[in-house]
Amino acid sequence: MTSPDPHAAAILSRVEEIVEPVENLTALRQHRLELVAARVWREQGRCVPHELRVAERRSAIVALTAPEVLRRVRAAYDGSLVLMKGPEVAACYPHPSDRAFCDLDFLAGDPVEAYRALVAAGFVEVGDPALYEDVHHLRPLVWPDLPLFIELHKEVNLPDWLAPPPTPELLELTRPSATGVDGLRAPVPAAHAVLLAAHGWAHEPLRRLMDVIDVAVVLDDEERDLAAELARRWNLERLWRITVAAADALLRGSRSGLALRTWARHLPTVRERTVLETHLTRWAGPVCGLPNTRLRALGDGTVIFTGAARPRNGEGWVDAIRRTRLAMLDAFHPQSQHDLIKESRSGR
Amino acid sequence: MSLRLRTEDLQWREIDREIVALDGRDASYLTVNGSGALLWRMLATSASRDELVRALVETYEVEAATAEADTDAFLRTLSERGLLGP
Repeated sequence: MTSPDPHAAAILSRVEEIVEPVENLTALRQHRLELVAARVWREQGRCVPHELRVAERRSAIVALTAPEVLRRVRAAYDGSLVLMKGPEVAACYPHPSDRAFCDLDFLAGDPVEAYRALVAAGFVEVGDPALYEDVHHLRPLVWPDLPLFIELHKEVNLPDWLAPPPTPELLELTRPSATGVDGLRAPVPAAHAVLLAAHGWAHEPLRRLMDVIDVAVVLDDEERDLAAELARRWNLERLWRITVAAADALLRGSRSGLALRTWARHLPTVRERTVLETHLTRWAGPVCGLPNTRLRALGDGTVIFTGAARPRNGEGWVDAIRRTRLAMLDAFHPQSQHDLIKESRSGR
Repeated sequence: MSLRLRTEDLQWREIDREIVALDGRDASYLTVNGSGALLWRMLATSASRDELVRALVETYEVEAATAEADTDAFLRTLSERGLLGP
């Protein structure tokens, strides 16, 4: 593993300040900051809850396992493979154990050939094949008894309203992996940071603080211009700008942008999103993230916005209106609390 | 005679005074806590049986005979699992 650089250390120092007063374990877990909290609290002599100690142990086992599995992958297949996310990001953290992960994501030049080679070497397929027919990676593999999934990606995972960057270009934009495993390559920091930002948006724009920290830790200051250029070239410029602005505001004291003042207000205080913020985010994602085709963005956003009130999953209009009314009543409640209320009402 | 943990294919880390280790040879995990963790840490850099016994006596304020028995049992377990180096 590489030694921590002052840039990453400064960022984590700010993260520690943010995390230190947060006592809501659910929120910490949602933001993937529970391991940072456990470390900080222990250093301060505070009690670390049992469930965090369990999480630490689980994370340590996975982290110990990763180099072993990576070496086996590299030994089994010598074609074009690029390690993204998980352990590659963790290696950039001053305390790699702060950054948990549960799988190894590779971008492969020829994922099918790589897959065959890994299976021939002893990796075994897991999961229902039907789940992986039309997704961006092949069916996961594991080495027997080692708790890490391997996902071979045909292309990187982006929001479905954006086209992924060309895989051949990504396979070129690489450097030796920060994990230190011989022969393994990873994206250059600028490309990795942009991919991490875009991948985060694929789940939910500015979903959790750890997504933003990942981008900030990976992105060297001297690579900012290159990252902006790559984001422009890949039509990810707007989501990139919003993510970097959020990272700078949260971790470097810059002025908060519109996102942090509206639909991403859950990040600075490490809390759950409210029902209203969740709905705003579903609308704001395409509107804010699409490249300059604003008309289409507004169209998509409108569909999503109005779609929230339409019947879904076979429900009738009466149920849809009831659901919408409940969402409006709970607008300022945490999303998980609202989901519980919904569940308990539907169970009646 | 100096004893130490195997260095090949054995990864471990310490969390809250507990050792979590992965034996890469058979992909097995083990956790060691309390007095075992103390002995493990000493064996990571090498120690004699007498030094291990003395550490237990000083840290846990137990009788020498108890410490000797515990140390021998721990070393036997490590040896049986192939975790001690040559």
